[in-house]
Order: sequence, then C-alpha cells, then structure tokens
Amino acid sequence: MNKRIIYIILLLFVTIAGLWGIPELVKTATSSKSHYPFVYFSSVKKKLMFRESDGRKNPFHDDEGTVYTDDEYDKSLPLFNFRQLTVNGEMPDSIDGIAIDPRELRVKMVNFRYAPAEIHRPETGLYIMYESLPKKAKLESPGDVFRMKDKIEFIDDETNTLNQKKSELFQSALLKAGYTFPAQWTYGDLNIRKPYDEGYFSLDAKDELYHIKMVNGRPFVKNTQLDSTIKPAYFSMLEVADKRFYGFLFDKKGNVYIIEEAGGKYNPVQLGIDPVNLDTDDLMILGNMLYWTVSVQNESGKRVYALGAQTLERVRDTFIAASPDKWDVVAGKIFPFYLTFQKKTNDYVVPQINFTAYLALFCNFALALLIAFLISGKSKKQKIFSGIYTLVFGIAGAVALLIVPAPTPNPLKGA
Amino acid sequence: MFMYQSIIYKEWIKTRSMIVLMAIVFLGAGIYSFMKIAETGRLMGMINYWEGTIEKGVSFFEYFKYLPLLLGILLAVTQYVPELQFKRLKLTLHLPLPEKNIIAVMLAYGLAVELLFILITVPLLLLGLSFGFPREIVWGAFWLILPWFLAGLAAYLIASWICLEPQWKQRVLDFIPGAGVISFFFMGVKAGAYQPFVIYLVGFILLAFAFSFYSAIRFKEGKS
Repeated sequence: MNKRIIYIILLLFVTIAGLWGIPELVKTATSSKSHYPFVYFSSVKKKLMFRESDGRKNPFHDDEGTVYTDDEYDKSLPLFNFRQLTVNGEMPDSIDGIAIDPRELRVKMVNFRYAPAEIHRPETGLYIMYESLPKKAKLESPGDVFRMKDKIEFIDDETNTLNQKKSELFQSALLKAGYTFPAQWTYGDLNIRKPYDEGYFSLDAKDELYHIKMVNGRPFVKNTQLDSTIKPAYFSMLEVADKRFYGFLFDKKGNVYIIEEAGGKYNPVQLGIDPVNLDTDDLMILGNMLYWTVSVQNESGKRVYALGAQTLERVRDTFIAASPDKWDVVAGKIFPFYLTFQKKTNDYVVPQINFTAYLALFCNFALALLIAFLISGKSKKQKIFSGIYTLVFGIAGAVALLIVPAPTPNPLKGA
Repeated sequence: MFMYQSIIYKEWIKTRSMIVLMAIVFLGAGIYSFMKIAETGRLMGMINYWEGTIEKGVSFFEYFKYLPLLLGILLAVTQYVPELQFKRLKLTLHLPLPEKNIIAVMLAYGLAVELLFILITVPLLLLGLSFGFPREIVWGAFWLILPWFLAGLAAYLIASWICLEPQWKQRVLDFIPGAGVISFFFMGVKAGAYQPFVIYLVGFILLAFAFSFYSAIRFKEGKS
C-alpha cells in the first residue's frame, strides 16, 4: 500500500476521533441545560401556575406574570396540594360547584410520561401475558413468555420450549377475531407491580388495532374498530385507578388520543393539543378530576396546555422558549459540524453529523491559514494540502495534521 | 513459503505463554459467568430471570467486557515490544521478503489468534445460554457482547500501531485518538443498540490494519 494512502487513512481516522472527541470535551465544559419551570393548571384561578427552579427570588407566578407567595401558590392548586391543604384545614369543599370527594380525587389522578427513546430502542420481542382477572389482589407470574411477530408463541420457562397448547389456543383466537399476521407492533405494560392488567394493544398487518389479554386463562381478543382515519403509530398503556381508559394512542399525524372503555367498546378521545412529533417531543401529563396539564417539550421549548378532564378540550395554553445553551453558542462559532453517536431521543448508537452555523467556517478559514503558513511542512504542495484539509475539517483536521507525522520520501520497499 | 512459516513460528514462540494464560482466563470467565447465571436462575426462578431480562435488558457475560480488549493489547505488546528492543525489527525486516509482507504476516498472526478466541468463545457462550433462555434473549446477548469482541480486534491493531512506532512522543500522540476510537466500542448501551453501528466498527477495524505499516515505514526511515 502506498505510504501517502496510509497517511491519508491515518489522518481521516484521527480526524474522525477528533470530530467526536473535541466537541464532546467542549460540550462537557460549556453545556447549560434549560431549566423549565414546573407548570400546573389552577382549577381555582383558571390560569397556568409556574414554579421556577432557577433559584430566582420570586419563583411562583402565573401565565400573566402575577407573582404569588408560597402559601398563595399552594392554595391556588388545591387539586395538586390537597394533602397539605387538608392537613392545614384549607382544602375547599367544592370547586365551581363540584364537590371535592377525596376518594374521587385520588382515583381521577393521571400521571403519564412519554419520551422518544421509547420507540427508538432495541426490544427483545418477548412479552408476558398476565392473568387479567387474578384470583389474588396481586398479579402473578404466568410461568411463560410469548413472542408475537408471524404468529403468537408461548415459551415455557421450565423447559424453554414452546407451549403448543396455549400457543394454538391464542393463535386461533387471534385469527378468529380477524387479526392478520405479521404483527406490526405490540405494546403493553410488562411490570408485574402494576395495579391491574389490561394485556396488550397490537397493530396487525392491516393497520387494525387489537386488544389482547388473558381472562381466566382464556384468550380475549377484540378489534378496537377505530375510525379508519386514525392510523395508529404507538400505544402506551396506563393503568389509571378509575379504569376510565386503557392508555394513550399516538397516530401517524402526531395526534394523541386516550382509548376510553365504553361499555365493551373502544372510544378514542383526542387530546386538545397540537400534533406532537414522536421522534423529538417529550410528553408529560398530570391530570386531576377537573383538568389535565399537558407539557410537550422539545429543543425549541416547552408548550403547556390545560385541558378539561372530561372532554379533553383545550382550556388554556402557554409556551416557554428554550434558553440558549452556551454549548450551542460556542459550537456555532468554532465547529461548523461535529460528530455524535448517541442522542437523548434515541437509544441506538447511530453516527450523525451535526451542522451548526456557517459562521463557524470563519474559524476553519483562519485555522487553515495558520496551519498552511506557520505550522505545516515546507513544501508548497504540503502547505496547500494542509490548508484545504483544515478548511474542510476545522479544529479536528488541524489536530490530526499535528498528530500524524507527514510522510517523507524513501518509502518502505514494496509498500 | 518456508520463510512465512518461520515468521509465524517466531510469533508463536513470543506469544504462546500469553495465549495459554489468556485461554485460562477466558475459560475461567466463561465457567464463572454460567455459574452466576445458574445461581441467579435458581435464586430468582427462571421465569423471573426471563422477565427481568425482558424488562430491564440483557446483562450476561459482564466479565467478558474488557477481556478481548486485554487480549488484543497483550498480543500486540508480546509480539512487537521484543522486536523494538535493541531494534530487532531491523533484522526481521532484513529477511529476503518484501517488508510489507513481513508486517502483514505478523499482523495476520495476531488477528488470527484474536479471531480464534472470538470464534470459539462467542458461539460457546451463546450455545450455553440457549439451553436456558429463549432465542430472542440469546440474540440480545449476542448484540451485547459483539462490540466488546470487535474491540479486541481494534485494540490489537491500534496497540500494534503504537508499539511499532519508533518515537516515544509519537506513541503518546497516537494513543490519544486510538483510545478515543476504542471507546466507540464501549458506549454502555442496551443490547442491540449497536445494530446500526456495527458496520462502522468493522470499517474502523479494516482501516486500522494499515496503521502498523506506517509505523514500520517510520522505523525503516530511522525515526527514533
């Protein structure tokens, strides 16, 4: 192999390490994460209430800028601070004429989170089918796991072999209900410590969403018969105390729905929020018996919606822009592009070139002049090469040129 | 042909003690891993072990995480440090063969040893696991350990590059990007997360094969 070719390979190798390593070090030194306030809708004041966490003097205010004391803030959120207010004897008996029953308050609580990594992470493709009508209060391990792609198959834990009988029972129930294999996806809650079990929601090959669970050891399979305009993209199961709904359905347009239990039928109710991007947006829902507070956060900022708990229609919303990260400012000045392998929104290792700002090209240009005229080898050809290389690869390129010794004549015989 | 066999025999003489030692370490790590897996299965119950693995991710064979890396570095050190002592490499490169072929045979020997360890260890680990776990979990274990074993090949080539480099200052400079690239193989992620990245790791390994030739060229040019 030609000596110059090996030199170029080495240069590229060191440059790639530098394109990742140098910005990573600068990022560690400069990154400042956005501190978003905690936001919750006040059922009393009908405003979104903010609790800032950046150490400012008056951390409590509403979406119109009115500042509150700690005590006033607690009282404005009775459905959030009900324990504290009950202890203080300050809990209202009713809000807007609706009696506040402590039991109802508890069972209507909703706490849900979604992060993009949920749909961008490696899965084993195995699931656990719990008994949905257990004889005891606690869920018990079924003694097998199942796979569901081209067909449903249960694998016995003692023998590590197929449980033919159970597999055939569920397979025939699925086919009888109209399920078309292969399955596109199957989502449910695998955690045994959940309060109750509702099995899985699975999208079949024809974009039909099915509810699958095990009741008294028998398969329960039902087509949810969703409106054909809803194209399911993801489902996240949530066990809520009042069993009002099964979980959250995200469609391909980014609309979010709850799938309500409606007398044996499945009723999708759309949340009154703008479409979310499943690949980039974090979602947090904190609900109480009167209102739900929905926060959608991404790189640009955090949008918070208040929805009526019954209709899920929008009552109010606000937007908090992301504060500029020092790292972004620095990167935009010195790295026109850099390399990353991991992202917060994706659990896979994927190399990605991140472009920042054209302004950073000036940095490359200045560095290229410096390298070409002051540092690199004496030959004109070498100067031109070093200059162009630094212009393209910037700091990482310059570092590579300094690390890798340039070839000299008299190459290895035969190399 | 005889000459090549002689080079290979010389490499074997230099490395055999280390190879035997590492084979014992690999065997020990394998036996201990399965003892731990069997113990966890007994204490938790296999179904709970399965469920834990499905829910939280595969985490078998942690003892193997840095072993292929260690093997790669030790192989390079035992092969090339004696060559650099008293500049014996000069004698080796004076054999009546093209120098590039001599270096290629030495590198191929080291890679073959590392590959032999991989091709024996990985299938045995997965085969053992398949007796107690469904194929999806075995597959997950494969994806988890694959980057660690590939790191062994990369570490061997990068360590060879550094060992053959004649200048100490340059060795230190080479170590920095070398260590950076080795860290690409250990990003501490879930089993399967490397699926889209393995092809790039293989690319790095193929490129790294060329590095030692550059060090040898510099040695030949009398850099010291």
